[in-house]
Amino acid sequence: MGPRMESRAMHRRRDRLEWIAAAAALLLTACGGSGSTGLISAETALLAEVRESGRCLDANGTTYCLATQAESVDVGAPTDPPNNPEPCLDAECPPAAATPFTFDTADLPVDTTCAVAAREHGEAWSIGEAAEVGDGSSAFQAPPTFASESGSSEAALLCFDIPPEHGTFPATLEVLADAEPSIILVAPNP
Amino acid sequence: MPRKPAPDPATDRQRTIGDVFYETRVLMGRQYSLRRFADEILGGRLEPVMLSYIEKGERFPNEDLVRHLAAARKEDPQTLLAVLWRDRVLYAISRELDRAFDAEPAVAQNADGELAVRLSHAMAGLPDDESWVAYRTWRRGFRHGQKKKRRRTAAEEKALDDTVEATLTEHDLIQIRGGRVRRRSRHYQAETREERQAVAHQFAQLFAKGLLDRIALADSETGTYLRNHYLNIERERIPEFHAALENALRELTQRFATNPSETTDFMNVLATATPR
Repeated sequence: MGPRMESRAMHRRRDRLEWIAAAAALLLTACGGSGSTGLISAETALLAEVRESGRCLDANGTTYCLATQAESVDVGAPTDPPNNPEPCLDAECPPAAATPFTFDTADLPVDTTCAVAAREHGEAWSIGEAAEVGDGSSAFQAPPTFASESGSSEAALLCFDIPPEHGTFPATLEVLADAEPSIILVAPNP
Repeated sequence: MPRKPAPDPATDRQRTIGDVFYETRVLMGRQYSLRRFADEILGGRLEPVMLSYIEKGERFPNEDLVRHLAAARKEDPQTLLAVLWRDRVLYAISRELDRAFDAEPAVAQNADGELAVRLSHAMAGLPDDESWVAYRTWRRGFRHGQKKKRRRTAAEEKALDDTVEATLTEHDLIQIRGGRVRRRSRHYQAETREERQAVAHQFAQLFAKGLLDRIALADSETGTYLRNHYLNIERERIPEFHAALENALRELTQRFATNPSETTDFMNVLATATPR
């Protein structure tokens, strides 16, 4: 190989190396990383801590405890399946029915008034109708959405030693403690 | 070999006024004991034991002392005073935060926001496009651009790095496999009390630094942007506004994100949109 040929080959090799280096540099500069950090609301953190530890916590002028499920739950007679049900594709099938969480109120005084609160994560709480716990056999059911949409909803039972005046509860709440309940029974994650 | 320029105390978020006192004394040479430094450099304005407290961050120096230190360093006193004011603001906020969190001594390690700071660096070390990077390189990058705290041992540093990795794994933000790691998501939501406390302290540090940069160092090249945008908005559209703000900030940070190097800074963008 003559000196000119050799020089041309070296040039080609250098060009190729420069191209590879440029491509590598481009790849490197294109893969920077970023991210973000946030804080969940104080009450959401509190609820998570109660669920995780199982302990009762006093905060916001009330007590948060982990709810236990009532042992005997009358879920009613099963409905008969329709005759010759039509087959459905997965996407079309209705969601499988799940057993709603049932709060055990046996340890509460009989004249305690309670109401179920439920919400999709990040939204306001919807409050159900209030009722007295009675002799302990009554069980408050969390709404079906709580159990059927696993992981995206949560529920709690607000209980009052002295029910609010006129027996009325707000329809929605940003923070459970705003209703000033005596105790909040937090349902574990579905 | 060219010397790496000394970090500017005003723009170095990790460096406290106590660190600046310590660094100045150490850089002047071994012969400068606490007593000699207090007597000769600071003109006998304080006892050696008080200088020790200041260096450890257990006491704040007064402004006269900081001006004397600036003179010894041949620096503009305003720069060091800004560090002092920032530390005082941060201390006041942190004290109230600790009360709000009903802080226990056991979480003191995280209370200065170090965990949250390191989490941010760890996440920023992973490409936005979720491509894999070498695990060991990523772990080394946790502390990129951060000054090593002299009161933390190598074992403590490693423990903190392990906590960062465990936290990101628990939150399902990263995936580690076969000596490589990649991101699975980009948003870290502090949940436990310790995590929330660490993040709250980090936010407070960022706010204090940003505010003091603009108040005390307006003419300096701090790299800080601080502005309040305002509007009247239908209350029911606030969630929509928050989502749009999130999207805009995500697009912006992803567009400008690059690999850390000698020519890059770690930029924090702390956003708050709050109705009066």
